Amino acid sequence: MNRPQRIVVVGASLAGLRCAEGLRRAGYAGELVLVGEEPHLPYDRPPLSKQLLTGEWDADKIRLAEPGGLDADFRLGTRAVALRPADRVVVLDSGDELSYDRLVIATGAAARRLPFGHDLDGVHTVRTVDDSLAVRAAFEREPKVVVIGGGFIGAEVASAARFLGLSVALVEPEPAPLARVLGPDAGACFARLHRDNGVHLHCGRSVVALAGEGRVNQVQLDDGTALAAEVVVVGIGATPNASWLDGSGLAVADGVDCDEHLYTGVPGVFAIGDVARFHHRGYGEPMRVGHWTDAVGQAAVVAHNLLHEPAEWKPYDAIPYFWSDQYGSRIQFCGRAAGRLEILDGDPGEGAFSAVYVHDGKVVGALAVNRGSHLPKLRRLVAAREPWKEDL
Amino acid sequence: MRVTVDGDRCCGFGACVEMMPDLFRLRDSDGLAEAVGETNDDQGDAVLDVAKACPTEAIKVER
Repeated sequence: MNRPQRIVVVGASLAGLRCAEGLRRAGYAGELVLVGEEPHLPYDRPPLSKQLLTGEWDADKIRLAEPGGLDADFRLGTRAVALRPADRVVVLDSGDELSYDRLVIATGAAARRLPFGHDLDGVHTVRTVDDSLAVRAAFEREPKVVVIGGGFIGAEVASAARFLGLSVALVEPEPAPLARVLGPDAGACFARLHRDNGVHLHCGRSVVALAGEGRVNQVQLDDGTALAAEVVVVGIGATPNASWLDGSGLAVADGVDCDEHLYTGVPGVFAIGDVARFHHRGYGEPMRVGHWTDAVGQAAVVAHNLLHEPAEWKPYDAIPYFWSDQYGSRIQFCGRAAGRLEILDGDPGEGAFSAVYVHDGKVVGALAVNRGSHLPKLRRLVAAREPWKEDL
Repeated sequence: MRVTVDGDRCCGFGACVEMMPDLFRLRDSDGLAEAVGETNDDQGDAVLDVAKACPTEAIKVER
C-alpha cells in the first residue's frame, strides 16, 4: 500500500481529535489537517449539560487539546461543504479545496430543533460550548425553566437547573423520562428521580407552540396546558451532520453508512463518531451510536485502519456504553435497551439498582444506577449474550 | 509506582477493572474508578496498558 502522505479529518471534536492523536502515536509523520466548524480547539461535550451548566467548571477545564499540542494543521471556524471523491478533494466554505490521500469524516451531530419557536429569545439547545455558556448565563437571572425532552440532555439540564435552585418543568412525550432510550420499566424510576428533586413533570404530552413577543414566555402543550417559561431548553435529540455529503456518492440516510471497519466503501474514506452509521458485527445490523466512549473506540480503530492494508483492518464491535449524571445519581448503560428489564440487585424505588435487558431469553443490555461496581459483570453478561435465569 | 484515577475525567467505563481487578475498582457511590490495590514494579507494563486502554485517559502512573 502507498503510505498516506496527507490525511484530512473533517470534524475537530472528540472523535476527530482522538483519531489524529492515534495517527501520530502510531508514527504517522505525514500531513494532518483537522477541519472544525466551531472556532474552538477540540473540547469535551459531556460537561456541557453537567458541570459547565451548574458553574462548577469553567470552559478551560473541558479543553481536550492545547494549542500546538498536536502536530496538525487545524482549520477552525471552517465548514466542509462538499466532497468530490473522484478528485479526492474536500471543499470548504471558504472556497478552499483540500486534497487528501485518506479522509476521516467525523462531523458529529447537531441538536434537533422544534419546527417552531427557535426565533424567540430565551429558547436554547445545548450542543456546543457556546450553547452551554448561553444557558448558564440565562440561568443566572433565576428564570422559570421549561425543558422540552426528557432524554439525557433534557434530564441533565433539568438536574443542573434544580441544582441551582431554579423552578423547572420538563415535558416529555413518552410516559416517562428516558423511556425512549432505556425503556418504560426504567423510565418509571427516572420519573421518580425528577419528581423527588422538585421537577414538575409533564409526561405523555407534546409541545404544540412556544409563545411570546420576541422573547419566549409560555410553552403550550397538546392538552391545553400553558407553562410559564422564561428560559426554554430543547433537548429532543441530534441529527447527524451529513448533508454536506449530498451528491458525493456516499450513502447518508441517517449518518454516513460504513462497514464494520468504519470504511465507507469510497476509496480512502472512513467515518467515525456520531455521524457514522456502521455495521456492528455483534448485533448483525447497522448502528449509529453517538456515545462518548464509542467515538473514542472508533477513532482508535480508524487510526489503525488508515495506516494498514484492508487485510489488516480492525472492526469496531465494542458494546455501546454511556453514562449520565442526574441529581447526584450516576446512571450507566451498556448494550441495547430491548426486551424486558430484570432487576439483578437493589431497588429502582430506592434509586440504586442494577438490571439487565432480556430479549429472546438473552441478556442484550444492562443498566446500573448508583451501582458502578457492577458494570464489569454487567458488560460480561451483555457480551456473552448470557441466557437469562433468576440467579445471574 | 503510584497509580491514581482522575475523578474529573473518569466516566466509569470500567476497562481498568476488567483488565486489573486486583488494582482497580468502581465505586457505587459515584460510579467512578479508583486504584485500591498495591502495585509492584513488575506490573509496570500492565498498568501502562490499562492507562492506554482507559477511554478518558484518566489513569496517571508515576514511577
